[in-house]
Amino acid sequence: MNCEQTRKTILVLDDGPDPDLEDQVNRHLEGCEDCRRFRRQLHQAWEALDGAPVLEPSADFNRRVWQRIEARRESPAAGLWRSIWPVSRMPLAGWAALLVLAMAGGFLAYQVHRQSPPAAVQFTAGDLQDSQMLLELDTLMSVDETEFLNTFQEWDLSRDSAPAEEEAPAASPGQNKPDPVPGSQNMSRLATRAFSA
Amino acid sequence: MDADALLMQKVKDGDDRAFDLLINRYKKPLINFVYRMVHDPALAEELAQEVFFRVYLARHRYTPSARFSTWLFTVATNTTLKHLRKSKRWVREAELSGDSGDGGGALDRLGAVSGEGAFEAVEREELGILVRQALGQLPEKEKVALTLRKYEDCSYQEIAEIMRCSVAAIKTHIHRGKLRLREILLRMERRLDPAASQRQV
Repeated sequence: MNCEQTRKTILVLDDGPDPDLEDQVNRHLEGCEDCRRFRRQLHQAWEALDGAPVLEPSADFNRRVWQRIEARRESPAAGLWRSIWPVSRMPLAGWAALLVLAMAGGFLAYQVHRQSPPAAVQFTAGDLQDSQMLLELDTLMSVDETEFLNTFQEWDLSRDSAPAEEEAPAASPGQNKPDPVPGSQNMSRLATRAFSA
Repeated sequence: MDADALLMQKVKDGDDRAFDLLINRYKKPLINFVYRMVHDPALAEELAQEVFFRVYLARHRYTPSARFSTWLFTVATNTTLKHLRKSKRWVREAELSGDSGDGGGALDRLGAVSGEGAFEAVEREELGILVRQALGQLPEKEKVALTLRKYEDCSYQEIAEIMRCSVAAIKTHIHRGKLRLREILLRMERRLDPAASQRQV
């Protein structure tokens, strides 16, 4: 057993007796002054702890303990609150972080809220007119349009779009040809506008 | 069930006198245990009161499966270490000032203090200062383990329960603590009397 092993074993032997280990240590110590000194100093240091000062409790120790307990009894709500919300446990940095988060959240919420809601749809006179026309178109379409187109002719859109004054002379005099379908001319105008849109 | 556990059972049942008995039984070892950590008598007493207060508040959680003293010192260790970490009031003792006057080494004087001499009071006071300074320089785990072992006569198993670590870890803390204590006292000795330490070397 060398010096290092011996010193480790000296520490282990303090934990509990072991005759075999003790024999080995003693054999080493017989010829090693350094390790003998090590063991002596180690035991002296341990025994030195006996010299630590000993305090006596103050006369009102118990009373002060009970004062604390009574204070808690008088304000149980505070204790309950503390157990639910460990205010005292949260360091200042935690509170600061919480405050910053709350402020950031508030700012974001404000920004989102500040953006005005989508503007109400403003209908112009043109929109209203278009709407009116679409309604009329829908009414006219209730007649089977396809049949109507096949029966007569292809639509001449350019003619339909001509001014009313020019259209009138084109009709044969005395032949006041009735509109085959009531409002069909009006419908063609509507269709022209619709397709050209 | 041991006597302390019976008393604690009464405390749980609302008998405050039983708690007073427990305070009387443990206040001195508890104050001294805390004092060896904080090195401040007033603070030690205040923290010891805090420990009893916490124990009382937690009385309903006590189960007799653990010894009352183990539980008490667990609360005491946690309370003290929490305070130390919070306030960072680690007592790194200052250099020893002044000459011891008798020329003896610190360890020799510590070893010789059991013999009563004419200057017993002075010796005892000096010894107290030296030990307090030496303990103050130990790392916290070594200090707690050594204190529980030395002053409270706790077994390794009990210390392991109090410090919530393995028995092997406790042995390591105590071995290292002893080695460190020896080193600290030797350093003090060299400062007090360089000639004496040279003679030893």
